[in-house]
Amino acid sequence: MLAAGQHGRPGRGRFEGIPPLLLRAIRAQPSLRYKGAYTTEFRQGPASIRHQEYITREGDRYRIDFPNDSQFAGQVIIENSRERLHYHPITNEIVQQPPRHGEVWERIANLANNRKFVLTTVPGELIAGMRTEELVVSDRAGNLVQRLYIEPISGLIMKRQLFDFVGTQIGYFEFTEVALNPKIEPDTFVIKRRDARVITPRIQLERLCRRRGFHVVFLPPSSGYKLEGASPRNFAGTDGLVQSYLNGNERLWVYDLKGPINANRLRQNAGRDLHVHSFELNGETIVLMAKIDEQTLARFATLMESGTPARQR
Amino acid sequence: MEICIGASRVSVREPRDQASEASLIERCRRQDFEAFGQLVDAYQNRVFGFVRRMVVNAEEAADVTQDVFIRAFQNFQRFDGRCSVRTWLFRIAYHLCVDRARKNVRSPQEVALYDPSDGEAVDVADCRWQPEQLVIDDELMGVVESGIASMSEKLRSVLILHDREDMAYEEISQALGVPVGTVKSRLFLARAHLQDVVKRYLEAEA
Amino acid sequence: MNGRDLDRMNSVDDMIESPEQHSVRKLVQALPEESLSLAWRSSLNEKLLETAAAKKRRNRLNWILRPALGLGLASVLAVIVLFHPSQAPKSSTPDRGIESAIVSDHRASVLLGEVSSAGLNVNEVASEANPQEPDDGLWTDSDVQGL
Repeated sequence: MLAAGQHGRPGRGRFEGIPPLLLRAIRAQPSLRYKGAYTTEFRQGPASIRHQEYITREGDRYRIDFPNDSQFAGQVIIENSRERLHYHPITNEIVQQPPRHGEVWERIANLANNRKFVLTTVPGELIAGMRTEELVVSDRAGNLVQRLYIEPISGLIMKRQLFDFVGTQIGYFEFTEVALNPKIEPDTFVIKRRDARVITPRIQLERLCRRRGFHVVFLPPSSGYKLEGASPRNFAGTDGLVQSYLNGNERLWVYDLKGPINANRLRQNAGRDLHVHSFELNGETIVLMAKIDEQTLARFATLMESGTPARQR
Repeated sequence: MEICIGASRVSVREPRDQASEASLIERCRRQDFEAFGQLVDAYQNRVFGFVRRMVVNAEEAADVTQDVFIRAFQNFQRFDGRCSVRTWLFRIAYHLCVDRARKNVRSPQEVALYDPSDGEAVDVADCRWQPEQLVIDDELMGVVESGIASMSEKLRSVLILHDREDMAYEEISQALGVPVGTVKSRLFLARAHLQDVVKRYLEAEA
Repeated sequence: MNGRDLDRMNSVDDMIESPEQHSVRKLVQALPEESLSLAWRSSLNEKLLETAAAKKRRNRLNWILRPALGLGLASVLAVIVLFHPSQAPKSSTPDRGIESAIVSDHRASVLLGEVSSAGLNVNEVASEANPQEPDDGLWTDSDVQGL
């Protein structure tokens, strides 16, 4: 074991008590430059969804492309500290979203500052030809939560695995090739597509609502939260839409459901950390969910009721 | 009929060897009811025996035991075979019991005992205690049950899995997600606590 | 016996192999085994069947919601709704599992958000079968291929 460290307690300084390896990785972020390819896998129910992405990164600027034989071929994602642009070749549209990568690092730092978790550093494996050290995140009962494989000199996370409470891997990414400090062309972080239309997530949401027969209900920007995206879902037989919002590194979710829910049961299920507020609007049930207090959520609900062109379908 | 699964023996109605267990697991992954039924037959009473001692009452234990099998059925595709089915089932059971206890805020207080790793003292019943001379009757069994119930979940789970389910330390370590050393020290503390409870009962009887 | 006495013991291994500890083990082993009733088993079987059926429904729904088929179905449903306006409303009884389904989905999304970093997140990847939600009434080659 190279080093073992218990995380620091909140309020003792943001990076106090963080294992040196993770601290190095966090501090390296603003200056990281690399090109590479990685495989990502998400588990959804019993199925796994795996795909490959090509990444070019220079500090807080990213470009993501996809292999030609991929179902995402032709799509391009560009992200910087101000915005995230996602180009879809079929519709020749660029979706303009708030940036999301910063919050990942915020969450990793929070892991280290959370008393519920214990971080341990052990020798890692060779990944894409690079030696790594492994940061094991477990809960206080010793259950494995995450594994991060970090290249110790650059601080680049080469592989990350997440596990559920029975120890099953629910998602991971792993670099298959990487080049540190490569030459990066100046126009890498620009999307140039002739006649491409820039649209917002709000427009996407309206289209989705029309197609799925939902009223267009959203949290207005005056809340401080920006809509990041929306997707359809089915919750135990009830059709729904999930809207995801970002305010800096804080997230909020809105669930629009075509059926009633039991608010108390939902609150019980959500537990202590996650807060919920639900209300009915035009025959649909709207649920706001975030790690912010219920009063604020109730205020946002009022904003949604008054500010949403609710009759629009 | 018995089959060796993991580190100890459990009775299973049909499968006779590792190959047939593997085939049973494969069928369960394909959501084969009959195959899953065989697993339920093999493990329902064992899982129930564990859960029964981890939650408040028998009805709740029966509910949680159903949840364990439903959870296993839903997630069988995710069972990767790195541990035995039994370990996996007990792992699910343990987590569900802990969740349930948190919701009920019922968990008994930690037993104040010596932990070999932190150097505090503990009073453990002395060696004059001669349990081989004990008459194991219903009343004594009741005392043992209440002694188990008065332990923390951490100690109780290890005691049941090791001493009742005959699970190996490594298997318990996998099921509970704690190091083998912790399993051993918890086992020692759990037994010491139970010894103390029984000793007090016997002294009162005397 | 106290902490100092314990210190004399070589290790936890020795401690748990002591005769007293073995005696306690025998007591625990002697505890009676409780069995579950046949009613319990029947009830479990019913729940397992429900679980399997719900899963099939979900899979079927996912299949239906594929873009082209979804579009076709939407048209059919539109016709049905137009000509059968007095169709019975949905049951107002909430599904017992919806609340936990929402929270589970939420937690999974949050966790999986950790994996995606700057790339596609799980929602974007999963909804790729229906990628850009083109304007109503318009269709593309991929819609035709999906039929």
